[in-house]
Amino acid sequence: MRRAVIGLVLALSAGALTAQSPPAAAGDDLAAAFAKDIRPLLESHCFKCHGPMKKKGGLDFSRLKDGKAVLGERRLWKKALLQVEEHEMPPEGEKPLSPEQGSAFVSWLRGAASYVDCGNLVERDPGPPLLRRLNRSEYNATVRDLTGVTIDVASEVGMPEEATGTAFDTSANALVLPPALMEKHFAAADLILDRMKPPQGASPREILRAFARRAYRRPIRDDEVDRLMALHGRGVSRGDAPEKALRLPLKAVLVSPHFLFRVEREQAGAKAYALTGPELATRLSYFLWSTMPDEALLSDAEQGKLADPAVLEGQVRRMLLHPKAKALTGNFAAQWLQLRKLDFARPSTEFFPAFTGRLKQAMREEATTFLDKLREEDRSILDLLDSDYAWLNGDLAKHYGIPGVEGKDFRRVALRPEWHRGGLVGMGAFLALTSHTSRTSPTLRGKWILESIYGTPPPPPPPDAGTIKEQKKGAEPKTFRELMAQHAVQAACATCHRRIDPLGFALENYDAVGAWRDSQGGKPLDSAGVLPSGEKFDGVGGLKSVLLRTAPAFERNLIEQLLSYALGRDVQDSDECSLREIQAAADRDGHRYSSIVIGIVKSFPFRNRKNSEAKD
Amino acid sequence: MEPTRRDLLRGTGALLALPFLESLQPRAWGEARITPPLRMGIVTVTGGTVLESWKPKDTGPLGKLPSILRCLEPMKGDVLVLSGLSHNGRTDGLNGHEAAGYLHLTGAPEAKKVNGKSRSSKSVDQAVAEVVGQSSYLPSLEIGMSNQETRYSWRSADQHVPYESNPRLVFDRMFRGRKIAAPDWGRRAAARAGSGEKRDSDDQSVIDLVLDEANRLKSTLGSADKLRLDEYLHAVRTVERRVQLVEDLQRQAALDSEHPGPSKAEVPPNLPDGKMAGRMRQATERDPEIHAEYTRLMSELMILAFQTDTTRVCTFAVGTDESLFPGVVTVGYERHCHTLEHQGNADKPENADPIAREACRQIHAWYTGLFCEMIRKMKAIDEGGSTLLDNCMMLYTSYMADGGHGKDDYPVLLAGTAQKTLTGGRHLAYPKRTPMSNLYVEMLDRMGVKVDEFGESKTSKYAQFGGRLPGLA
Repeated sequence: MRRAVIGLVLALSAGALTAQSPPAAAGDDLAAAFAKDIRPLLESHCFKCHGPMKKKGGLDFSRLKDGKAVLGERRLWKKALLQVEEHEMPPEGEKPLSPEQGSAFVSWLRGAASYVDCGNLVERDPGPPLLRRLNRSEYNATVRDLTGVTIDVASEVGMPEEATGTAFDTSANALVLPPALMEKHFAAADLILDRMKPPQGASPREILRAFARRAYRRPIRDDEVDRLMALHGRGVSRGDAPEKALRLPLKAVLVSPHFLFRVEREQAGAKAYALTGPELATRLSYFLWSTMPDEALLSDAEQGKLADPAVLEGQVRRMLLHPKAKALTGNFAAQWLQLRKLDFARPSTEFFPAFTGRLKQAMREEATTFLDKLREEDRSILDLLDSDYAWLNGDLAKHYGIPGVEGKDFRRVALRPEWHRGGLVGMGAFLALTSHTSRTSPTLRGKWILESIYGTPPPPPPPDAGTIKEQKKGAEPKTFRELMAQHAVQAACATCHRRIDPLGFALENYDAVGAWRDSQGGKPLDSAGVLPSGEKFDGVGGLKSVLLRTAPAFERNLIEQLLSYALGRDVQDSDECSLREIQAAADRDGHRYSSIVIGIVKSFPFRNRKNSEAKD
Repeated sequence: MEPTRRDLLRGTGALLALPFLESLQPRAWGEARITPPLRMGIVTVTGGTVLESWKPKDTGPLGKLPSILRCLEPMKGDVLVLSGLSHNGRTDGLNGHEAAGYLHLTGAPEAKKVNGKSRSSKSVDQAVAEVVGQSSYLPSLEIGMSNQETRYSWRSADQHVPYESNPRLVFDRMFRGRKIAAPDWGRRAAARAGSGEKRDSDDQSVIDLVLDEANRLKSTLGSADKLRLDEYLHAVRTVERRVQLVEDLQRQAALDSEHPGPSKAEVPPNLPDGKMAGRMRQATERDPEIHAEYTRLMSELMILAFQTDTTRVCTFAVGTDESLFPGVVTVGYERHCHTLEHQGNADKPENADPIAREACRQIHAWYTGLFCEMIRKMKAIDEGGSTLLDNCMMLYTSYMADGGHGKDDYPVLLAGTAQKTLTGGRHLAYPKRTPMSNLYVEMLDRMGVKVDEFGESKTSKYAQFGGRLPGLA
């Protein structure tokens, strides 16, 4: 089966991704229509390959009988919608749908793909429970806050970088603990104990209890302290000095599963239940700070105060303004927007002498400062799509052709339209990390917009895609644009590239390192494009109006990404109502940064868990 | 007071440096028979090759070598060129580089990404290390430049092994707390001490406590979380076994430095310090001179690892697709390897841009030149009647067959006669699409790992020769 082509069509079609819930009656209508029209259509056109016999792609439509049950399969219908809308299915050579069948099918699929009944709050599902290991950066930050040891312990002992693929590095399933890493943790514990100031307290018992409480992020039971004290006794009995005798139990804490994992306990009953205070505080702290809770948060948690939404919200607001919340930029946003790829940006100084290490660093800081200030000033996240200000220093302003900014410090600059900046797409970092050595890549830029802005990455090219075919003699393409146009001619490429390329071409006025240009090689630039929907737009201005018009799809994607980062798992069907509620609340509050973060913290899956029943 | 075991370990940094061992069974006593031991090295170059300038026209005895292999001419008696080998595994959700990278040393019947998480299957180097690795200081060594896309070594289907690209860190990993000495293989006895029984040490007491905590915790968790905790328990127990093995290995090392072999093992003179080494690695992509220097240095570390019996399995990933080659490439204007690979490999070679293809040929002749230097050095190391190269099986290949993500007809050659289990000086052409996995079965076999099948050797629809590769000896 050809890969599902995830299209801009969906992202750009109004309604499908906005926050309104369909009226309750819609569910009954959809269910009735399924039994009457859709099921027969599946039987006649789809069962042959996706039925009880073949189950191509693991898909058997025959198991979907009728009634409301089929409406629980939102992700399936979303996939099917794209396939049918793009005429990928039924495939060539199979019985085609008549135009009437096609449009009836598409309109039903559109309904089913977005249908969800959010009225029933009792049956909410917080998603699978996950035991999460601290990732590399969380470990470093936690060690810093727990022990005061500020060196990069993970690097010092050679812990490998987390290899979580395209998932966030908070993704529980990807955070494995191979023996090689455990060995590094033993080495790290020794290193930390060598460097840290010995903790002080009334007695070894109290010292160990206090240290373990902070390390395990919860109150410590007496029997746990007893066992640590037994280890302490080992040193004492052979005459170790008091500080030395503490080393063994402290080391045990630093390699304990309670420290290395974020443990959430099972509770009685089969239904979802609220996390304990310390568990919620731990989720919150790692979400906003990528480190352990501080004393203010932990003591509120232990006293059960976080159950009060006002206290919880107060903590979030306090934490968002704390410097540790920079982790939301450095860990979350840098992964979401692929900013870490800037280190490996291809443009070379051979072709772009301006693109020095210093300029690259300035580009990175422009993006991170913008995001940090967005949080600190609690501005609208739509500023990411377009803004009338930018954060620049002298080097960068010069590179952008903006006068009157000197020095290496970053400051807020009010933008004029003729400077062509504002929002993410005007930032050098994203323009450069999507370019080739010697030229721009409209394809990579378009792909970045689909991935980062809309969360609808195109599938990778088939491994045998090869490169653009050179044309025969006499028909030599003349411009870069004409060369690229072959993407859209070759059938194997066209389906995806007519979605990807126009978005990138709109940014052609920015060269490979993000400087503005009006022409290329003496020829005027062609930055016009047509969306698959037929809509025409031109240049970065045109692109920004498209982005702003489809802002709900962007906002929805940001919320999905942030929720996935916070929960350490992929967003799933059962999160749909929470996602809509978060977005609705953000819309009411002017899309403020804090409104989205608070929405996530107050959401059902963030505050609740359920017992795990089986192998996930 | 006598120093405790832990003091000893901490003092030498041995625990820090010691590699993990997946399964520690008593080492084979039969080791004494094979002195020196056979080692397996894999040198894999990025970006495929230009086959018409790699593959000899005729099969049988090697005539004049094609231009990419030309530098091997004086050593061709030690070289076996194999053609026709392919990967036929299915891939899902992977781009062209990932697809080729994941299949490269695994020969997996299927490789994919599920929710961004990669899956392939056990790679040939790790399969060897699992068995042979128990006899040496490091079970295996993975060095050079492998990135998120080019993942070659896999301990299991879902655990890939990261490559260390910093030469200083490679060196430290090999020799922290250890003296550099080439063993005298004639002297080294098979005798080993250490019962492996549980001892009363500080580390052991910490391990006992955390195992106890983990078991208590496990009983309160749900089933999915229990699996994750099992991973923790397994990891801690492995560390526990390792701790118990440290002394044995150190005793061995002390003996080796008292009775070194005929060749002299030395720190590479141009080994940079940590920071410089990191910078050197960064600069390779921009400057071919530094790239060559870096490649030579890593080659020397691989040789040193074999010579000192630090490990018997080493994989070296050479180059990155992102490298620039000014000075190496002298035709056209493009210098960026990845761009050249694409321009030089259209759907068919004859449709490719001939200038870019020539540039790719220049790059691969350059890479092979560095490999030749390495082989020459190995041939000059005396292990007491045989050379290091005689006691090695070096696979020289690439993760793609060509720069267009091809997986058909890989560039493959074996250097070193693997203790007379390979007969060099020949080109063997196998039927189209014969699985590379068959070669891996042969390599495993020579390393003493007896398997019935590996990767797709028996399950491929192009399966040949009962999953073996005839005619190598």
